[in-house]
Amino acid sequence: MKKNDVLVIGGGFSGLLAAIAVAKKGKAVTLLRFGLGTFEIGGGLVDLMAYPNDNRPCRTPAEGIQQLSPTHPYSKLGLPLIEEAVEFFLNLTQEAGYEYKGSTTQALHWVPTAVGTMKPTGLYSKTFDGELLKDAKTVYVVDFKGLKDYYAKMTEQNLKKHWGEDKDYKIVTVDPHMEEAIGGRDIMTMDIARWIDTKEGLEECTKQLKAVIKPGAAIVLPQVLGTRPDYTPYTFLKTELQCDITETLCIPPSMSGMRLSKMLHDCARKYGVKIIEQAKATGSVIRDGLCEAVLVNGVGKEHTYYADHFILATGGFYGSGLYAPSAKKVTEPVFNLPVNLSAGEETWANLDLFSDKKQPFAQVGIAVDPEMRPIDKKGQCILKNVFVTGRNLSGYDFSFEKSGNGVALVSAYQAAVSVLEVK
Amino acid sequence: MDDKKINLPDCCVACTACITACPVTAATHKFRGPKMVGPAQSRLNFAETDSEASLEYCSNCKNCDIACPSSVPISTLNMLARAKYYETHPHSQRDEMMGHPEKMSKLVAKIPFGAFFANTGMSVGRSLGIIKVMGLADQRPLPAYSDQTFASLFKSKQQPELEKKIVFFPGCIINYNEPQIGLDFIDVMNKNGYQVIFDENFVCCGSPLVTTGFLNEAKKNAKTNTNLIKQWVDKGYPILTLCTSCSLMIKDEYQELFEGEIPDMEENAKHIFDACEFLEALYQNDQLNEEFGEVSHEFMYHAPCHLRVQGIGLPAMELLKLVPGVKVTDADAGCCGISGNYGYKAENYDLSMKIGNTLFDTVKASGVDTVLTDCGTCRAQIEHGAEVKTMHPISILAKAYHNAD
Repeated sequence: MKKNDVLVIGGGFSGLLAAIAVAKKGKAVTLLRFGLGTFEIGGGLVDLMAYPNDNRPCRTPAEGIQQLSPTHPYSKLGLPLIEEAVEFFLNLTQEAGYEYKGSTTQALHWVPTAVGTMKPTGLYSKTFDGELLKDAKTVYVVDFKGLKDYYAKMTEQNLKKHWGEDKDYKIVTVDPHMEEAIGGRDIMTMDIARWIDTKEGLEECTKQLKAVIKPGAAIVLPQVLGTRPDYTPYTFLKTELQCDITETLCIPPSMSGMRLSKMLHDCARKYGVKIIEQAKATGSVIRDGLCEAVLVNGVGKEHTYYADHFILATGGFYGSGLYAPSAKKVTEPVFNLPVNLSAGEETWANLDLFSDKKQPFAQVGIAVDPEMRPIDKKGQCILKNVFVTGRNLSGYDFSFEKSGNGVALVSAYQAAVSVLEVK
Repeated sequence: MDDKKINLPDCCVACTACITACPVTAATHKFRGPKMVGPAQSRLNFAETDSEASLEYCSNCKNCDIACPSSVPISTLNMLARAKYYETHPHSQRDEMMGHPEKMSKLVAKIPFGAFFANTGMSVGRSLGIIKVMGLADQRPLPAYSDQTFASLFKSKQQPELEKKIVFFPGCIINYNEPQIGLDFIDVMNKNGYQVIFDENFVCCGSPLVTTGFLNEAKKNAKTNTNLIKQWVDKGYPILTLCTSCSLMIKDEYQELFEGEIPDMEENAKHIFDACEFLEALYQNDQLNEEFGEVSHEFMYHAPCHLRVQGIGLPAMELLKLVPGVKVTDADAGCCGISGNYGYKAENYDLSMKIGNTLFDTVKASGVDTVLTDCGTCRAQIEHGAEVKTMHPISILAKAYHNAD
């Protein structure tokens, strides 16, 4: 039976990164994918850490990371490795021609949302930059005719609240000529972004904006600067209008998520990762504390994938990496790993919705050692050649902390390092 | 995680991944998109008169299913809704024809020189504007009939008597339009120690019937085929196809559409293989005959959507890499736009070509003169849109074995 060096289970942000990291070092990698991951719903920013313990933001991600409890995945990974992983990701984006910026040591980077509030992040594409609003005297809030769930007036009001009334705020509406969509499925940022992907669309949009926008201002756009990891629309618009530009975070589908998804997919292919789509892992073959193979419930029949190492990146509850068959139990379906869930459901949730405490249910997951191998309650490694990454891990609340893609990135990087180090 | 094959629409968490993956949504604003038309509409579909006007835009290409992280069979929900609509609405004459390619083909095959007259008729029909009047796209060629069916060619095909046997499910395209691929397949299987059995009683898998809303007829075909497959499975023979839409239908869509209505579908599916899937499994188990001769040629490979949704990767790519001299790149450029009979409908022609544009551009930019793909209608679309030759990967394997002799 032929065997892979590494089998990655999961094709989201964490799985793709882990696969790329090991494939880049010359390993034969097969990646099992079931669905597109959380790119479309989660977006393309890589949050690192903003709220380590309560609702007060830290100054830099690194400072926040140092305040975390020892059970947090970041605490196990350690700051030097986190910085290495960030470097790895930034290099990858540069190599792909869609460079991201940011670091663990610079102050939190704030990005405007669709409703004009500000959200902190860690690593970001150049199209997201709330800071440029600080010095701008004039702020243009761009709307598109027929764009669903985008309320430029609300954006304007909240931006005013945050950045001050003394600036000059103006709403500008671009007509993308999509009459046939209005009243049908309505227009999403994706439709506008696809229009801007085309040369004609980009030129027409620029022409309409140029007619009303004066150089030297800041422009706030919905997330429409293309669907591909390509700065052409951003650079063209910026140069033509001679203004600073930032996109806002909008409702799904996220265009920055699509761009990141495409970038990582292309990168994985470039390094020879073999991707099996629509492959749902359902079980495994274990012998003497080692995994020999993973079973996939394919269309019609079961398939068996053999490998030396296995990286589990199945994405927590959302990606069905964690599964709650009943109200009292949570399981991990592929390796049947123990999931640390405290007894008594009354302890699972903090019922105060806007409190400044993390949610216990959000921290449910699999405990690992510093190599990312699953451990039991006594801290003993359960499977020596299995490494767990991303949302399957226990001990963090990505939504509260703003650390989701950050933990996914760093744990994927550590899993790759572990695979490459293990003889 | 629901065990039922037809997962409930409520498993949809509205993440929108399907919308970004849908090629029709990308090509027209008139389609409300897989999320709205599939799971969202299914939840609301309680009155008979409820039907989503843009449902007809769905091509059943299944990119939504591939994108979905929550196992919602979105495209099948669409097909069930379409069938429900046609319970109370008449079919057009065109859809009657498009849904029944087998009926048409059988008719042609029965008449002496039928293929010649039918093929001539199609070109005459085109010049007289009849094709257009029928509601068919007159910009593209209709699939030409072969002057001999696979069934008749099989009778005169010499095969060695071999212990191991597989049963071939030919599908309409191999049987009536491209029988040579079936003959190549026999050579490849013989080289691997398998004798090919052909069962003349198989009927059309039902894929064109499902997409045109003839669900009851599709069910009849499903019953016939399932029953026959069961008999072969009982004898211990695997069932192989050369068409990814046929294999998807008999493996998977039968279960999604008719779960609980037809016995044995689930067990049968364990023994049904796409031809390249079967050969790649032999390779993985070190049982493939790897005595390939050289085929010095550069190709591009297009993965049919109906293959991608089967969870078996791209087996043809793995096999082609074993042939000395073959240089092959995966186009990875999305749906070709034809989706069975979808692109043959006059009103879908422009849409179909727009969907395929990324692929056509990728093929043209590569400079190859031949594209390999496992699906018959994909081949027709690529020939039309990218203006290159196309072949089934199995024919390259047959040639490689031949060159080793």
